[in-house]
Amino acid sequence: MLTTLALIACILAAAGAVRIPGLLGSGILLAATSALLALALYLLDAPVVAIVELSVGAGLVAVLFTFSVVGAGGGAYRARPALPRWIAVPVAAVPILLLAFALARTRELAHPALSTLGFVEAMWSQRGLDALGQVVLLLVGAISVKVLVGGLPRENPVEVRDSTTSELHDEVAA
Amino acid sequence: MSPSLELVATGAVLALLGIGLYALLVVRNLIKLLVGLQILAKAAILSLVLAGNVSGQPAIGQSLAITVVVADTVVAIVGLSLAIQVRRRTGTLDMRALARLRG
Amino acid sequence: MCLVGLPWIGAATVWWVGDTHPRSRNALAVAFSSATALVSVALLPRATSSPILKFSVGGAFGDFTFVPDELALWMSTIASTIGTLAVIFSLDYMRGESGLARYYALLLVFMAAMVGLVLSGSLLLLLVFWEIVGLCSCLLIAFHPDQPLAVSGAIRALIQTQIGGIGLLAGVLVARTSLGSDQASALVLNGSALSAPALTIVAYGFLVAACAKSAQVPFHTWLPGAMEAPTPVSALIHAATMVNAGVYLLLRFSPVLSAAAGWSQMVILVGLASSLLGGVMALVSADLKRVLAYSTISQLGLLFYAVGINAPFAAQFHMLSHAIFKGLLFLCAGAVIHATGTRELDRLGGLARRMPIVTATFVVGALALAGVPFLNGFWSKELILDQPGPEWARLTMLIASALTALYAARVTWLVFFRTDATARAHDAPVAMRVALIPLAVATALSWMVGWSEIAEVLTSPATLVGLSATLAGGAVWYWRDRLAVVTGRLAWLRAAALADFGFPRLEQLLTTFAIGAAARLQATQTGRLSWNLAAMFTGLSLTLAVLAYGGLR
Repeated sequence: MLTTLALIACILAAAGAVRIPGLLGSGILLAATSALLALALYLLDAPVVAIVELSVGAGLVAVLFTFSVVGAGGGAYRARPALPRWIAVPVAAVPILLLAFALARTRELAHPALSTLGFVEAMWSQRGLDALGQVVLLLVGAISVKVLVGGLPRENPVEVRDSTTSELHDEVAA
Repeated sequence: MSPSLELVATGAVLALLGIGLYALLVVRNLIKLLVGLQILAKAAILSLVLAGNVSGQPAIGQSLAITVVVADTVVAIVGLSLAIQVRRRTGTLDMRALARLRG
Repeated sequence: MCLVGLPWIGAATVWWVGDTHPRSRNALAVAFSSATALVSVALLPRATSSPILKFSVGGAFGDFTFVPDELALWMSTIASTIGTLAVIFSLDYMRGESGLARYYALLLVFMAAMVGLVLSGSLLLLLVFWEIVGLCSCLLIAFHPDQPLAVSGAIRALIQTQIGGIGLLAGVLVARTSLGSDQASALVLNGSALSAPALTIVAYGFLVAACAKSAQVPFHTWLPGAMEAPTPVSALIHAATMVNAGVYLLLRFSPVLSAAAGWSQMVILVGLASSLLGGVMALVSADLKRVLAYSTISQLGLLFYAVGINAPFAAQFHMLSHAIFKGLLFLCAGAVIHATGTRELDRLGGLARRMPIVTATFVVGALALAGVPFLNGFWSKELILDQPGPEWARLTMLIASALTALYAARVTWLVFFRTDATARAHDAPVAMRVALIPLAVATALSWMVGWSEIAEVLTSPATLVGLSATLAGGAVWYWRDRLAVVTGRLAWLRAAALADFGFPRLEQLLTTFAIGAAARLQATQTGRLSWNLAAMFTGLSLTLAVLAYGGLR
């Protein structure tokens, strides 16, 4: 019951994040979506995922969004949508219905027996390479952010102070 | 997992996907677009956990979900820094300014 | 294994040697092609129906097998032998041209692909080699990319054979999913297990592919345009080997495909139409190579007819004869073109005196084409005409046969025996002779290989009918002045033929339409990232839905 409520609230928050005109409000509602999803995940017997989602989605991403909104000169933002609503809703609905159909057909597959694999074991030994990949991905992301926001080192040459330059200046000034 | 919960959760996945897709179609602001992409990713996370539970392999489902969270975080981070750069260089966050790969 | 791999290694080596050492490059080309031919001949007595070479390429693609059975080995022998002779011929023909490393390498790749095609036991592998053959053909046609005619000819060839490739792809895929295996043997053995609609797709898909590759109506317009290629290329690809690939396809699978509704009749019809059309066009054409091209179309029509009336041995036999005499004719034409610098029949004439060896070999080839006893063309053509089949079809074939004799006589007379002489001409140089003479000898003698089967030709009454058709053709030519009244009445036909019966016009319309439609569709490329993403998502969900609908296997 609680899970259902959490999921419904999550959906509403997501809808709000998209519909609301202001960027800041969008960021906050996105964080709320993450938090509610984390709650739902916890209630669905996936505590580790819930914690990661909560800390990342509701914490890191929300903070980042706020910073970028401020840094990109955001704030209230109202614009005409790219596609009128009466077109966008059906167009969005089509793939969803297709997927629903596909899912419905695949439910006939038999449910295998419950595997007793522990989560930690799955994460690190069975899919250890994957975990390694995630670490690499995080590092790459961090570096690329530095480059994207700060520019490549060549663009921001460090000033070299030495006697010759100051002599030149004196000559020019004279 | 009770079948009704399964149904609700599947419905939630589809709803989130729909919202994200709607955002892709309608939104004009880059940062709003990133919000939409995040929502799509959350749908993916939820669906992975759900699939893991339903097929009797919860551990694998959850570890896959964690992978998606990590990847999605990186996407968000890089996307936001890209948005900042776009703002700096073109002065606007409107998608139309970026539509250069025209036919 | 050697057979399949040798030409590839040869191609790589020749290309690597490049143009810096012309003599070693030429020597290598000759060495590799003859080695391939020798290996193929050596394998002939040891034909077997079981795969001898198997590569497992993963679950999705099955095994890539090579099955050297009789049909395959015969075809690969034809391909490699005539290929070798063409390479030798090219030593003289292409002397002084630049970029020859590319030329020889492409020739070797072509041989490799053709050998691979006929030896392949897996349908998917067949498809791969099919496409490679088509690609090599296109590249060789446009060997001189600075000649616009050559380039457009190559592109047209590519487009038409690719349309055929779609047919082959559809057929192969349907066969594969219906039968669960992608081995050609599975298709032949279990073909009856295919459901009717599946069988129809496979049969007609293969037919389309064969028509396009073998230049049958309505996919025939690329072959005359392909004559822009260097003549040895025309001899190899467009007379002796590649165009036989279509016939090969039909031959291998006809036991299964003939069960499809109306298939055999369709094959016969296509064969008849192409025979007649080719014959008429050869008669009015003013370009030496185009006459030969149309002749090829016509002879292939005869082969298709043979497949349609379910006479596989006759078809194979005539394929052998045709490859030999047509290759001979093309190479002779090459000698003529090389010597005189022109291809137009108006400007050629009286070469008999100046080029005796070429004349002799050409006459041998032309006689074989017309079906004069006792050259190989006579035996194989009569064998086909002997086979039981629908009477209306046989009658039409007889008319086509007469046409063949007619245009053969015409072109021989025009080029060699007319009294107005061409300015400069010299007889064929050594390398060309080395290629021409064995082919002429083979034309005279190759029928002996199948002696036991064809002995009946001598005693069959149908032979007389066939012979009289040939005679009639020759006679019409001889008495053409007195028949001028009749030819005047047929002037409308000549005009239609000169316009190629409207086929190029049709293609022009189709092309313009396609380009226009593409230009208008460009408007859908909005360049907007988010919409592109949404479209990707939609496409993915559509795919999933279709898969779910079809049932998961």
